[in-house]
Amino acid sequence: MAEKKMSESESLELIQNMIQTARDEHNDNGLGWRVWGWVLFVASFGTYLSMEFRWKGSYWLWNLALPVGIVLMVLSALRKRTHKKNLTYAQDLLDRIGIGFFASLLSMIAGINIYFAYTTDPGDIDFWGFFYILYAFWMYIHGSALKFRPLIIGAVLNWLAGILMFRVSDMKYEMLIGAIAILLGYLVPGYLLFLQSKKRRS
Amino acid sequence: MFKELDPILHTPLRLAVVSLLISVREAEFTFIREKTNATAGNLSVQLNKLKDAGYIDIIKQFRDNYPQTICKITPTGIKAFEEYVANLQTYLKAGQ
Repeated sequence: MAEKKMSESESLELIQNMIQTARDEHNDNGLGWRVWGWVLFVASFGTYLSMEFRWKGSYWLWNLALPVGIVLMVLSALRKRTHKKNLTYAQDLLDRIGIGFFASLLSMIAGINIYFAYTTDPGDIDFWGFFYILYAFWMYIHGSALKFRPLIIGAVLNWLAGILMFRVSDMKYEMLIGAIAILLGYLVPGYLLFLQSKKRRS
Repeated sequence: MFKELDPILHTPLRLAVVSLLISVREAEFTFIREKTNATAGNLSVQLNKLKDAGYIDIIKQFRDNYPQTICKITPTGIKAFEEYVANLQTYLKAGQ
C-alpha cells in the first residue's frame, strides 16, 4: 500500500475490510479441546475398564488426569504465547474464562479431596464450598474483563474460602468464612467501583 | 461544517494499520504486514509515524531468542480514529 491520497469512500471501505480481516482471524486450532479431550477420555474409559476387569483402584486415573492435563495445558499455552500473531478481544476474554473455569475446577477437586481426607462420614458431603467457588468464577470474569484488580483478588479469596469450607465441618464456622470472603471479595470491590464511578461523574 | 481529515490517518497504510489495531488487543508486526501487504521497510516507517503521533505503542521484545514487535492502539489513537470516522461520515452524508 503506497502513500497515496484516498477518497472518503475508499477510506471507509478500507476500514471495513481491515476490521473484518482482524475479526475473522483467530488463533484457536482446537489444541486445548484435543488435549483435554484425550485426557478426559482416557480417564473415563480407563476407569470403566478398571472397574469392568477389577483392576486395582478406581480413581487413580482421575487423580493422574488432572496433573497431566494441567502440565499439557501450561505447555500448550506457553507455545501459543510464543507463536501468537495477534490477540483479539474475543480470544482474550475466552482465555480469561478458561483460567476462571480451570481455577474453579481445581478448587472443587482440591476441596473434595480435602473433604475425603478428613471426614469421618464420607456419605455426607458438604455443599457450601461449591457456591463460593462458583461465585469466585463470576467475580474473576468480571474483574478481568474490567481489569479491576480488587475483584480478581476477591475471586481468589472466594476460591480459597470455598476450598476451606470443605475442611470445616461446623456450619457455623463455614458461614463465618463465607461472610469474610463476601466482605473482602464482594463488598470491598463493590464500594471501590462505586467510588470510582462517582469520581468519574464529578 | 467540514473538518479536515486527520492527515496522520488519511493515508492507506496508516489507516489500515489503525483499523486492524482497533479490532484486536495487540498484534505482531508480521501479522500487520501480512494483512496489509506492505513491505517491512514501509510498514516500519508508517508504524513509527503513528507512534510519534501517540496513536500506537510499539513493544519490542525477544521470545525464544527471536525479536518480536508487538503493536497496540493507545487511547489517543482510539479517539483519533473515532473522530476520523465521524468526520468521514459527514463528508459521505454531504456527498449523497
